Parts: sequence; C-alpha cells; structure tokens
Amino acid sequence: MSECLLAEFVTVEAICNATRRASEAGHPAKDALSPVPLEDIGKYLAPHPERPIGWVMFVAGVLGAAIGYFMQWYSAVIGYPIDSGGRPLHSWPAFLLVPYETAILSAGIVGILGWMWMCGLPKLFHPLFAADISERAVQDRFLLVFPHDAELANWIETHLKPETLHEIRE
Amino acid sequence: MPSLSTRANLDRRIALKMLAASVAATMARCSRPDEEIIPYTNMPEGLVAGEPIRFATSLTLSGFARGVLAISVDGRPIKIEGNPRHPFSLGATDVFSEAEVLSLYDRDRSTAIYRNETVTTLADFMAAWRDASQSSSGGGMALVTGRVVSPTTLARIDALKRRFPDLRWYRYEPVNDDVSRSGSRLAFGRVVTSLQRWADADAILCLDADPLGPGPDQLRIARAYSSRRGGNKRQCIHVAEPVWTLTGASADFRLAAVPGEIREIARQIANDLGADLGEPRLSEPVRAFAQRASIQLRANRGRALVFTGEGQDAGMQALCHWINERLSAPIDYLSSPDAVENGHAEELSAFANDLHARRIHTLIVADANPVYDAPDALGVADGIANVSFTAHIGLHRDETSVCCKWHLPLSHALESWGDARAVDGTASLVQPLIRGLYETRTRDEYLALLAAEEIVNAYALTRATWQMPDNGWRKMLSDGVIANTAAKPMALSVARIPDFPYAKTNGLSLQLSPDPSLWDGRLANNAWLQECAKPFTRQVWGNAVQISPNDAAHLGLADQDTVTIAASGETFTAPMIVMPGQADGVIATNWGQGRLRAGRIGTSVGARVSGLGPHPFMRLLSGVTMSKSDKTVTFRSLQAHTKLAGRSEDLFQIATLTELAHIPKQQTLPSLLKAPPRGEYAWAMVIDTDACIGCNACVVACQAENNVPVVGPEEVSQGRDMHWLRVDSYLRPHNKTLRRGFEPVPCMHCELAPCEPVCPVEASVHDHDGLNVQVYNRCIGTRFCEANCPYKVRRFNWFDYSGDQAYADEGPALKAQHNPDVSARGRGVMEKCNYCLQRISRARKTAEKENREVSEGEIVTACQAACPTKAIHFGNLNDGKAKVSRLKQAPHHYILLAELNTRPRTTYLKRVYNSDDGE
Amino acid sequence: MREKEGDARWIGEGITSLEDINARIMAAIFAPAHTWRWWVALAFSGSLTLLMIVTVTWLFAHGIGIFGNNTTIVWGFPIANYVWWLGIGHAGTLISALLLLTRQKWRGSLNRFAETMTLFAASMAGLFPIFHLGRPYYLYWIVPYPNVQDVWPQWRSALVWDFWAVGTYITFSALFWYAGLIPDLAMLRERANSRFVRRLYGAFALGWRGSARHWQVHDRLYRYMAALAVPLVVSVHSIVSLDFAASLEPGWSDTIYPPYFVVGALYSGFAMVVVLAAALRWGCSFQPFITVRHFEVIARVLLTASIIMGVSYASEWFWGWYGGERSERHLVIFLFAGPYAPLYYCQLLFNVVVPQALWFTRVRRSIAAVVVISIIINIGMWLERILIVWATLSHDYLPSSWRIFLPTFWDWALLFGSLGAFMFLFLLFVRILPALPAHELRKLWIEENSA
Repeated sequence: MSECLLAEFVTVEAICNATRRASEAGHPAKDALSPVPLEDIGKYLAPHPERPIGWVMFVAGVLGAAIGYFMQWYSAVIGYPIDSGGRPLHSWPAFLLVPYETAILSAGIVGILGWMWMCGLPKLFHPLFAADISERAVQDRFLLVFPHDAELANWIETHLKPETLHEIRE
Repeated sequence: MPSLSTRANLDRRIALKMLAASVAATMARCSRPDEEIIPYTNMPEGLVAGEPIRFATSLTLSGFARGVLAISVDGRPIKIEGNPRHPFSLGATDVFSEAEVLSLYDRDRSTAIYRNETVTTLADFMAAWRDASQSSSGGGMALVTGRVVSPTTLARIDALKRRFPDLRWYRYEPVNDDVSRSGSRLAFGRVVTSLQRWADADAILCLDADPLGPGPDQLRIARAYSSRRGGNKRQCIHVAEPVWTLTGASADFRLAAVPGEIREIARQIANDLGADLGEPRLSEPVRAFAQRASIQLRANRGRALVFTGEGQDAGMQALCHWINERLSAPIDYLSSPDAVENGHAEELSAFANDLHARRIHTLIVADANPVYDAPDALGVADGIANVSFTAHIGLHRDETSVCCKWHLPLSHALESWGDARAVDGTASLVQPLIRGLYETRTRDEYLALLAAEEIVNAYALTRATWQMPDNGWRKMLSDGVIANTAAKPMALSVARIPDFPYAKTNGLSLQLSPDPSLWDGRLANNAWLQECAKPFTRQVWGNAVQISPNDAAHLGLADQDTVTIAASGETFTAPMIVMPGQADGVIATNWGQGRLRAGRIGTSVGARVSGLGPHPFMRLLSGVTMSKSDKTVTFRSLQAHTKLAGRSEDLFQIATLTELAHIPKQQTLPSLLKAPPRGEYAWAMVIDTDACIGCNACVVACQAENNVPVVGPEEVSQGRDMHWLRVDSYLRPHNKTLRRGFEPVPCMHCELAPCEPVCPVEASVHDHDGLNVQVYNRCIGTRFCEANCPYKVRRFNWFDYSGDQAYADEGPALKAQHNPDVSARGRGVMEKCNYCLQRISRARKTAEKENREVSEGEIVTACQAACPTKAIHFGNLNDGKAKVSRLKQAPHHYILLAELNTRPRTTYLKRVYNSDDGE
Repeated sequence: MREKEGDARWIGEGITSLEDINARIMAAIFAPAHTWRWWVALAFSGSLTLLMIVTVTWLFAHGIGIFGNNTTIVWGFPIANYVWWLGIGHAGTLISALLLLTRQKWRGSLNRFAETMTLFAASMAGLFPIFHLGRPYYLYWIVPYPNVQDVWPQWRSALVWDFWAVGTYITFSALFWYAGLIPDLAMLRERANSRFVRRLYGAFALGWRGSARHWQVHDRLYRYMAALAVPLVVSVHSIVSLDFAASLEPGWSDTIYPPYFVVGALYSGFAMVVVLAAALRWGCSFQPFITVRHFEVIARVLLTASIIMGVSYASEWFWGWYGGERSERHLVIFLFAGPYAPLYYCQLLFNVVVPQALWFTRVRRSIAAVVVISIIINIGMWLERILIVWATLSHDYLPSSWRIFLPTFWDWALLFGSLGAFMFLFLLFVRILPALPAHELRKLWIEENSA
C-alpha cells in the first residue's frame, strides 16, 4: 500500500462507527491503526485470510513433547543404558516431566515466531510511517486506512467526518 | 643427590638448599635398598612394574614387635598389613602399625646431622665424640633409650659397655609394665611376663585392666576374644573399671567403680578362695557384682582368668597372681625379654637425679624423648642443659633434641635393617622396604659408631647376630619370624598371699592412660592418627577430660566446657566431656598430646599431661581439683551424638543367647522395582558387631589403602571429614545397664541405591557386580547423592584436600605413600567406599588370566585385612557356600535401616550377650 | 474478587485522557522525578552487586568449602536461596496470566513490573544451583548434547527436571513479557528524543504500528501463552519441590510438597510484588494506576495464602506423627525443640500469625502496613526454605551423623549480594522500559470511561 488515505479519529466509538459505515457503504477500510486492541473491528475491514495461530502452537507443543520423550527414551534405553539404583531403563513416570516442559517451551517459541510471520513483522519501515499522524496511532489516536482515491476521499470527508484526513503518496 | 656427609663445614644456606633438594628428590630416591630383601611369599622371578609385593618385617610398639607385611609398589612402601605367621599379629594390624607408613614419609622427619641449629657432617660429630670420650672409661657417660629387647641392639649396648665400662644405661618406656613387674616380683620373687591364654578361659574378670585395649599384646588377645564369640560355648566376661575401656565395652557384666572399690572386689574373691584378708568394704552394687563374678570364676576353675592393670598397685597384682593360681588359670609365665631389673619410672627418676647431681657429663639419648615424657618436677630439660656433651638420636628434632648440642637423624623402621622381639620373646627381622629417604642411620649403626666397632652397617650387624647360611637367612626374611625364639613357660608358684591393706580414697582422682591413637605421644605428628577418632568420645585433634554425669552436675559443669585441672602442683586445660557409665570420683584423660616440638601436624595439639605428678608415668593422681576455665578449647569430634535418640532397637541391635534361638528371620520388604539381574559376582560384606572391639584399625587401613586425605582440625570443627569407613560408637541403656557398641559403617552398596537416581550426570552408578561405584571424572558435585544417602557414608572434597589445599602441606614425600591403584580425588568431587575396587579388579584379572572364577577369600578388603577380630567378612553372594552367604542366613543377621528397603549389600550381625541383666 | 463498596474504577483520579496515561508512564523514563533517590538506591544496590561478584570470584578460586556446608548438611544457603528466589519469580507470570484469563481488571497496573520481577528473580535463582556445584565448569553435563563418550544426562534426577523446568520458565516468561511489551516499545520509539534511542526502541518494536490485523493475532497469541503460562508456573515449583520430595529423607519425601511449594512460591512472590508496587508508586508517582485498592486485593491473596501455609505446616506435623515413622516423628520434635527451634518459631510467626492482621480492612487499606507485612512474609519464607534444607539433613536416620550448620560470612555475602543485584537490575528497568503496560491501561481507561 504505497499510496493510501488515513482518516484520523479521536475516540473508540468514532472509529468503530466509521468503520462500520464505510463497510456498509461498500468501500471498507483496508486496515485500522489503534493504540489499543479494538474488538470485532475485523469484520468491517476488507476481507483478510484467517490466521490459525492456535493450531500452530498446539502442533508445536505436541511435537515438543514427543521429541522430549524420545530423547530420554533413546538415551536411557539405547544410547547409554545403566543400572541406576535398580530403576528400570525405561522409567516412564520419571520421563514425563521433561516432555511437559519441552511442550510448553516449543509452543511458546513457535507461537511468537508464528505471530511475527503472520503479521509480516519485523518490518522496521512501513510506508504509513511517512505520515506524521501514524505515530499517534500507537499512542492516543485511531486511524482508518483506505485505498488512495479522490472520490473516496470526498466521501470519507462528508460521511465519516474524521478529525483529519491525510494522504500518502510517493 | 650429593650426600651431606661428604661435604665439610658447609654454610646454612647451602644446607637448606640441599634439604629442599632431598625432599624434592624423594620420589626419585624411591628405590630398593642395596642389599637383597626378600618378599613374604617365595621370591618372584623378575618384578612386574606396578605390582604390589608384600615384605615381612617388624614394627615395634614400646620396644615390642608386631610382625607386619609391608606392601611395596615399585620400591615404595604404601601399606602395612599383618603377618599371619607372627604370633603377635596373626595377620592383623593395629592403628599404630597401619600409620607407620605415613610416618616414614613424614615431611618433618629430621634429615641431617645438627650441631645446635646448624647442619653439619658425621665426620664433625665423630671428631667431637672422640674428644669427649677418648680418654674416658665411661665415667659420667650416660645412654638413655626406650625399652630395648632387640638382640642386635642389646649387642651394641654391650659393645658400648665394653668400650666404656662405667657407662650408665638408663632405659625407660613411658607406657610400661612397672606395676605388674613389681607385682610379679612380690608374688614369684622375680620379674615375669604373664601371657594369658584368653581363648582357654570361660570366665574372665578384669579388675581395672584393659587387655583388649591398645598395646603390644592387643592383636593376640583380640583374636582369641573373637575366636570365642558366636556359637554357644561363649565366655562370660566381668569387667570392673573406673573409665570405659574397649574391654569394658565388650563385657557381659560391667561395673563402674573407683580403683579403691575394685581393690575390694579382689579381696572378696580372694576370701572366697580361702584367703583371710579381712572383711571387704563393698557398697551394694559392687557386692552383687563381686559375688556373681566370684561364683562364675569358681565354677570355672582351670578355665577362669583374672586380669588387673597398671592402675592398681603391686599388692593387687600379686593378689591376682595368687587368685589365678588358686583358679589354676590358663596363663603362661615367661621370663621377660626386657632384661633390665629396674622399673621404668625408677630409671627415669635416677637419670634426673644424676643430671642434677652433675654426675653426667656425656649424654646420648637414643630414640627417646625424656624432656616430654618426664614430669616437670624432675626438671630434665634444665638438667640436660648442664651436660657438656649431649647428643640426640631420633626421627624428629623433638623436645629433647633441641636441648641437646648434637642431633643425629634416625632411620625409620621401614628403611632399617635390624631385629626385634615380641612380648613373649619371639624374634623377628626388620628389613628395609626402601633405601633411606635421607642421609639417616639406624640406632644400631649409631651405637656401633659410638662404640667404635669395626662393623657399622646395620645389615652386617643384624646378620652377625643371627649366624645363618644364606638360605636360612632368606627363609627368616621371607617368613618375618624366627622359629623357636619364644621364651619357654616356667612353672612358678606364689610364695604367699601378700598383705593387702585397705586403700584410702581421697577426693577426685585423675586417671591417665595412653592415647588410643597416639600412644605415648611419639606418633603425635602422624596426621592419620590425629584424625582417628577415639573409640568413646570420638574426639580427634586433641585430648579431653572425661567425667561422670554426677560429678559434672556436682561441680556445675556442662558437657564440652573447658576446664582447668590442678594435680600435684601442675595444671592443664582441656575440654571436658560427660561420659555416662564412668565411675563417680574419677576423671580421665590421655597421654600423648600437647607436644611442643612434634612437627607441623602434632605441635601444640591438645594438653600435655605427662608433666603431671611427682613421679613419672603415674596412672592415677589423687586429690586433683577441677574448675571451669576462662579459656575455651574446642572439642573436635567426628560424631556429635553417641546416645541413640530412641532408635537403638534398630541401629545398634543386641540379642541374648536365649533370644537368638527364636529370632524371626528379617524379611526383605516388597518393592515395585525388580532387583536388576546379578552379574558374574555379587560382592557383599557382613560386619559382626559382636566381634568388633572398636580398635579403629580398619579406619586407618582404609585411609592408607584408598589415599583418603586428612582435613585438619579447622575442617573437622566445620563438621567435615573424609573417612570412607567410620566406626559409630553407640551407648544404649538396656535393663538398668549401659550397653556399649561399635558399628563400622562403610558404604552399604544398596541394590536399590537412593544415591544413584538422584545423580544428574550418572556419576553414581551400579556396576555389573552390584557395586555402587562413584565415577570421579563424571561428578560435578551436586551432592544430591549424599543428601539422599540415609547412611551418610559419602564424603565430599570441599577443598582440594589431596592437592594444593592439603592440610599442613605434606609435600612430595607424602605422594610417595599414595596407592598407585587408587586415583586421588580433586576439589568438588564426591567420593566413598568402593569395597577396595582396586583389589577386586586385580583379583578378577588374575582369575581371568587363569580362566577361573575368583575364589572365596581371594579378595580381602583393606578393612577386613586389618581387623584383629575378623569382624569384617567380604565375599561373593552368588556363591552359596561363601561365608557372607551363610552369615546372611544367621539368626542374628540384620540390615541397617531395613525399613527403607534400600537392599544394602553391607549388612550386620547383632551384638550378642549371654544374658539380659548386665547390671 | 468482586468489588462491592464504593467506586468500581481501578484507575484513580487525575487521568482525563489517553495522553495523560502515556505521559505519566513515559515520564518515568524520559523525565523522571526525584532522580537522586534513584541514584542513591542504584549506588546501594550496585555495591551489593559488587559484593556478589567478589563472593563468586572467591568461590570459584577456593571452592565451595568457603560455605558452611559439612559432611552431613551437604546443602545449605545456595539451595535455600534458589528455592526462595524462584518462589518470588512465580508471582509475576501468574498474576499476569491468571488474571488475564480470569479477566481481572486490576491486572493491568501490575503485570509489567511483576513479570519483570519474575525474570530477574528467576535469573537470580538460576545462578545459585551453579554456584553450589563442586565443579561448576561442568554444568553443561546435565544438558543433553551428542558427545564422544555417548554419555547423557540421568533423566531420573530431579536436578535434570529442574534444569528443564527453570530453563523453560525463564525463556517462556521472557517471551510472554516481550509479547506484551511490543506495543509499548512502539510508543517509546515515537517518543524517543534522540535518533539512536529511537532506532534502538524501534528495532525491538519490530515495526509495530497498531494495525488491527496485528492486534487481532497478538491478542490471541497473548491469551494462548497465558493459558500455557499457568500450568507452567504450577509445574515449575512442583518440580523444584521434587528436589526434596523425590528423596527418602525424613521430612522431605512428602506428597504434600508440590502444592505446598507452589502456594509458598505465590505467597512470597505476591509479597515481593507489594514491595515493588509501593516502591514504584512512590518513586515514579504512579498513584493513579497503583491504588490502595490494588494493595487491598493483594492483601487478600496474601491472607488466603498464609492460611494455606498454616494448614500445610500443620499437616506436616500431623502426618509426621500419624505416619509413625520414627525419624519423621523425631524431626518434628527436632523442629520444635532442636537448636533451630527459634528460627522455626520465627517462621511460623512470620508466615502464619502476622499475616492474620490482614483480616482487618484498616490494615489492608494501609499501604505501609501491607508493605511491612509483606517484608516480614519474605523473611519468613526464606527461613522456611533454609529450615527445609537444614532440619532434615541435620537430623536424618543415623544419630551418629547428626550435625548443625554454621553459616559463614560468604553464605551471607552471596544472599545479600543477590538481593542487591536483583534491586540493581530492577532500578535499571524502570528507567529503560515502561514499568506499567500503557496499552492495557489505555484499554482499561477507555472501558471505565466509555460507560
């Protein structure tokens, strides 16, 4: 989105209404920038593929546990079998704790990485940063992002009544 | 290494350089002596490097020999074991002989000849000696030695007397038999050595005597004692004593009584045997004891024995001779190998008098330390200072040495040729295991030089004593014992009952006895012995005063208070220990501590009590006073608690003969884990607490065998020690009496070991023979194993104890003692008993070479080898006929902390008493 | 924790706009008030940190013999400190995660610095098992790595479990903490006054721009991680408790240990949160965000925990007696009558008796009182940990081995050194990162003011 319009709003109510009306009017915003998460604003924005972060973490967890257990079983039974206090080589009850931890560990790490990947982060420079107003978006202002288009700009001005309207172009 | 004696008047700096060099060169100098030395078994063709070889030789205690086998590797003696052929070792050792190998490498040994403080040469000394003695016929010339029974040395003294007819020879031994000598003179009109045949007695009464305690005769009696344990034909042992002794701890009936009361017991028994010594003055418990003992003795005529000790007087000794005669007790009377007529105290006093009367102008002190041994009242040190020519021959520059103008370094027994006699006169040879570490000579060589004999070489002198063809000589060397040299028993009879006046007791009396670890103090610089816990107090690095609970309460003193004791004008300060089962009215402590010039290890440890008393070597000082001191002397012990907090039933288990009949066999508890399959061997140990007398020989043996470091007094106060094997001492109130017991605790080698699953790095694992082994290289020092060990047998290297943080840096010499088969453990590593793994694998290798199984008795652990009572049994559980397998079926077999179900391989046999009321 | 009486707001007076929130939080970093206090505190904690460094150097040079441990009591201060620090390290993640899942509104004011506390405390804890090793340079042997001898860790050992539990816990907490930090880092990026600082924060902010799409996934990620964090926290101190419970020593091998350790951990952790909260409130003028009500709810948690601890202690005595095992019984007697008895009575007083004052609303609403009680609780919990180690080892099965532990100077030096290091890190944190989560407070403020 090298070229786009940024509509600024001051309150949560304002931006939520604006987003809804925009999508009802048939030109939904591409994205919304806000200093706080906005619940169910997603469904009024332009359609966007679903992100199955939960599944990714779940699979990672299961794999982590499996690897953890296999590592113990292999090393204790195949790799280096020893008589340790008469305990069986494959002391499964004792082997349950490490997998528990590896599961959580791998789910956590993969979760973070997965989230970055899904959000295309890190992305240290983004065209939106060109607009000064964008820095308020992480502090106290709410922005709607629309495709760059003259009529649309007028329509936004008249119907959505943003605080300000900025355009970004190269 | 240039020899010091080749250099004329060299200055101090060079001398010190060379001393340093001599120490550094020790390793290099570890080589066999020039003369042929003969190993115990038949001479091996071509010595294998690193292969331990046993050589028979003799070590002396107070002059009397105990035959030993010194294990030598690549020409370095590393371990002492007993010589089975020697009647006063019978294959066992005591703490003193075990520790001698450390004394050999003692860094503080004197290594050069001194004139005052400067190193000089033998030539210088001989010149001075000739000036002093040339024209003399020996008038005013004095020789001071310990007890001399060695034929070769006696020959040297005779030679010296021939050269100097008027020479006066003073011989004294701090721990001596003065009372029994004069006792026998009273009874038989002559000095005799009485050799009790313990094993032949069914009823034994010890009146203030400790035959099982440390001494030159301990091993023989201890073996006889153990031969009568177990089985049903047991002995009934009565002991009446003021202070706990090893014998008292092993008694069926023990009575705590002051010497005066004990004397009355003898009177009672004598009267029962037909004497008329007047009415015995007995209080109630004593009377009951005396009557039971008397009945026992009379019921076993011919098989009854009465002992009495040096703490009593000659009359008492004589009376006991009379009683034994009436009982026709199993005793052999021999003529004493110590030919000197006078008593030891007598001799030392005479020496002191002659010093002060200026009757001595030339003095030779040969391997004796009168300045330390004699009471301050005798003022020996000042006396010696007045003598114009003084020379000291000794292993150390000790208290006496620094008072003498000349010092001549003595060779250690393991570097010397010579001979010795045991208590019964049995002669044995002393052969060197190693060429002298330093430029030293033996006592015989020095005496020969002084007498200007033509032969001045110990080997030649010894061979000259025993005119023998080479093959006979070889046999003598390899056996270590010279056949038919023991004195023959004599038929003697007691002339008459000695008159036996009543003793008067006045106030608190102080009983002095030799230190169970340091003996008379000559071993004070031996770190193993300093850190070897005394049997009852478990004290190390010092001596404490023991007192009965009543006396302590009466004096308002608490356990471990520091007290000052005044006896006959002298005072000393020491920590005080309250000892249940000690007689009221008697306090006790040990000789041998408080050395002023012992060396890095032994100097000013503990309190010197040999300085007390008007006369030398008094065993009992009466009328002493005791008060709390403003100083504090820390009481260092390896075991804080000897009272079993209600746990006695299962920790120190006892049974009576009647119970033995129907003890239910201890069942092994069920476990969810199935015990791992057994390998070719299943090593196991059974320790018989019924036989154990708590002599500590096993502890020192383990230390020597396994390179166990000493940690020193400061670390001990921190609660740290490194012994792989400890002897727990237990006190158990039982039916109105106190039962004392000892429980040697090595690693239990549990089959379901708690220490192993908790180790994160597999440093503590089981091997194929079911040994619980510690992999030092793998250990990272989490110490979880010791935390989880219910027996607390593991030891941790908090510092680099065997390396550069070693206590009182023993230097390179000590390293020569280390057993090359056992790796030294570094800092931060856990270690523990491994059943002498090195011995096991050696035996297995041999067996595999000859492709056969390791057979019963082929592996003997260090502790087992040392044990004089054969209380430790080791073997293969897979072999049903093995002793251990059979003992584990015994009715009095038990497992320590069985309720934890760790399935230990080390298990115990209960202490057995004839009957239950030991009052 | 439903609020009945009075105003239901968690953000106090003086906040009229989102910018107020941002400004106040940023002020702590870019325009701090009373900096001299901060410098004094930094100097003090810095010198203690130096003491820690000296101690550790001495330790590695001379060996752990410098501590008071002995043949019988082979574990001492390091293990107790480890358990104590890790306990403190438990509150942060738990507050953050559990309160998030249960949608507790008062979470927002605490979670950031509580999580930070967790990170630092857990790191301190992680150091002690290393310092306590005989040969610390071989620590890596408990890590599974392919090696020529083909030797692996011994997986049945609770210490190996520890390694995985604590390792996971520290890593996971760091990730969780960072995930929550990103939006605030973005704000820091925008407010940074120098180009370098701006870039630095920018790099860590990963280019966050508050996009609704990012928020959406972030929100789910954060909740899932919270859902993982709770069982993790519970597992970690349970596993730590197994260092003792998975042995056969009297007083250690108790099934009650895992829950008892987890509660104990939260107990000391919340107590530490109180202390830090008060310090922040005072030092960074966060009065509007950290209100008396926050202290009051934590006080209730502390009260509950103190009762559970009391019950746990009582159950130890009961089972010690009822189980009938001689050593267990003697151990209980030893605790009450042995040489450590005074310490044990202090432990009971500090952990069970004193906190009962929190029954009274007036005490709960007095910040000073709650802080004092919290400090007392932390001392009490340390005593509990050292006594767990000492009592059992001093007095287990064989009386012949019974001994007493005598701490050395270095034992204390390392303990206080670690306290200093912890304080030092925390002081740096409040000047570098927002001690409170701005974006969550914004959200909270909007919720509270939109109604």
